[in-house]
Amino acid sequence: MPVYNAFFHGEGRSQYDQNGFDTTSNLDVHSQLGTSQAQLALAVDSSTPNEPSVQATAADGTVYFFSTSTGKTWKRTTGGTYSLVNTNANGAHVNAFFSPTLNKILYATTTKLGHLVAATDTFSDSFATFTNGSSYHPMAEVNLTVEIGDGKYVASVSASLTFSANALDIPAQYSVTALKNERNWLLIGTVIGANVSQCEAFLWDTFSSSWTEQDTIYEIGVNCFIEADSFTYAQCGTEGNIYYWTGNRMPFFYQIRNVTTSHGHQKSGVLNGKPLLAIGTDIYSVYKRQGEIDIVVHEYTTTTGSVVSIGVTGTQLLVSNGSNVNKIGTNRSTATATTPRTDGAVKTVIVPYESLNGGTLSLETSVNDSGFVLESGFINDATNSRYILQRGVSYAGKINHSKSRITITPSGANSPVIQGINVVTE
Amino acid sequence: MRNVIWNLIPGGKPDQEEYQEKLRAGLEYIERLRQDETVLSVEIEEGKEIRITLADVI
Repeated sequence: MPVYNAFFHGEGRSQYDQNGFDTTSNLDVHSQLGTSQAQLALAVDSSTPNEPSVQATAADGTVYFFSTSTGKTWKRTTGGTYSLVNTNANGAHVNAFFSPTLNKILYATTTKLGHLVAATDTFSDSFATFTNGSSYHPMAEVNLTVEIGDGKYVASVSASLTFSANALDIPAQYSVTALKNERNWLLIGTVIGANVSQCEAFLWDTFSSSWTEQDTIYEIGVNCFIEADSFTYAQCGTEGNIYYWTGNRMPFFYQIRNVTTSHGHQKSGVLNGKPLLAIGTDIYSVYKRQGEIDIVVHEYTTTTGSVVSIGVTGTQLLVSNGSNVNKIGTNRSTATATTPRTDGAVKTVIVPYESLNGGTLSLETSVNDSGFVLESGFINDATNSRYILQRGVSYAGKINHSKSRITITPSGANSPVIQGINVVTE
Repeated sequence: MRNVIWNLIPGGKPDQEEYQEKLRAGLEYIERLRQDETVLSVEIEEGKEIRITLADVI
């Protein structure tokens, strides 16, 4: 009788991996280790910006949203009030970044770099001119200098606001797509082209005339780096693959299955110590609350549209999805956990719970990969604090293998807390 | 005034061809700047960098 209760293992390596779950959605496995419940749902924070935007949080917690489709910039006060504060004459933005050293927000269009003094809302749209006009302008601060990708160059802005157009150059076929401060060195992710299935990661000390380390990644580009507690991950390529930086190499770590991934300057972030990665409408955590290996769980889903940027102000997550800005609300979302494939004929499914908290559970099964079917016989056995499928699965034929998917339906702000999924086979 | 630096130091080992390429690219960059900026001064320090001073944007 397989008992699937290791929620803290997250999603497994494949549908056959009995140590994890086949899929998860909107699932909170970290609040009470050993159990799972529905995660808090994203809710609309503001109907503007109604354009896809990148964002940067100033020192006082004010967040600025820079449209990636026009030159508009909106400001969100710490009280949650939004207002349009600038229209960049240089057009649509590419990226934005708060520099603690400069105490300014730097923002880039393809051709120009601007800076913003948040305290006075003073915008300088045309502070500097890029050489290559790249559609990628990742930024990171290293050794009191802001480093900015610009095609084959890394440009920089010093603490005295001197702009260096080509502080570092890498081989001309590469474009810099992602940057990260790696213990006061600059980690550089690149792409060659959409049809070239290899790219390079470089490590530069920011002082020498050239880089020190490099490693080839056989993927179509580094889409973003993911800041984690003790690791730097890199999401690379189009198929959900995650790599990690060892200090001089970038080996494979994990694949988020059945997703399509693409470049984004702000598709990763850290919320209350938890690294997050946005893919389409979904936000995954790559995180361990306990143990040695980070796990991957799908925790949040946007109210509408795909994630353009994620940012954090205080303990709140802000998500630009192109139509509005989402934040973490107070109500729980409907969550699911799907078991890996269970071999043999499933007889019954039992889900013990700690509390239902006014919510409900439901069960779907997919027998022999025939598609998920709702099991109406899955009922609450309140006396024993469990849901149980009493009459067996509805599938009529011979059962070779199956998957069980539990849907956790919350009641407002409260969610059932389940302890495991017991699949009883004959 | 705004200060801009164009790096002339070749990456890796000294290479005259790469240096000349960087110098040429730097001069092209300055010409691009002149299209929408007021270039106040250009100072070339051979073997190191080009220092460019731009007028503040009004």
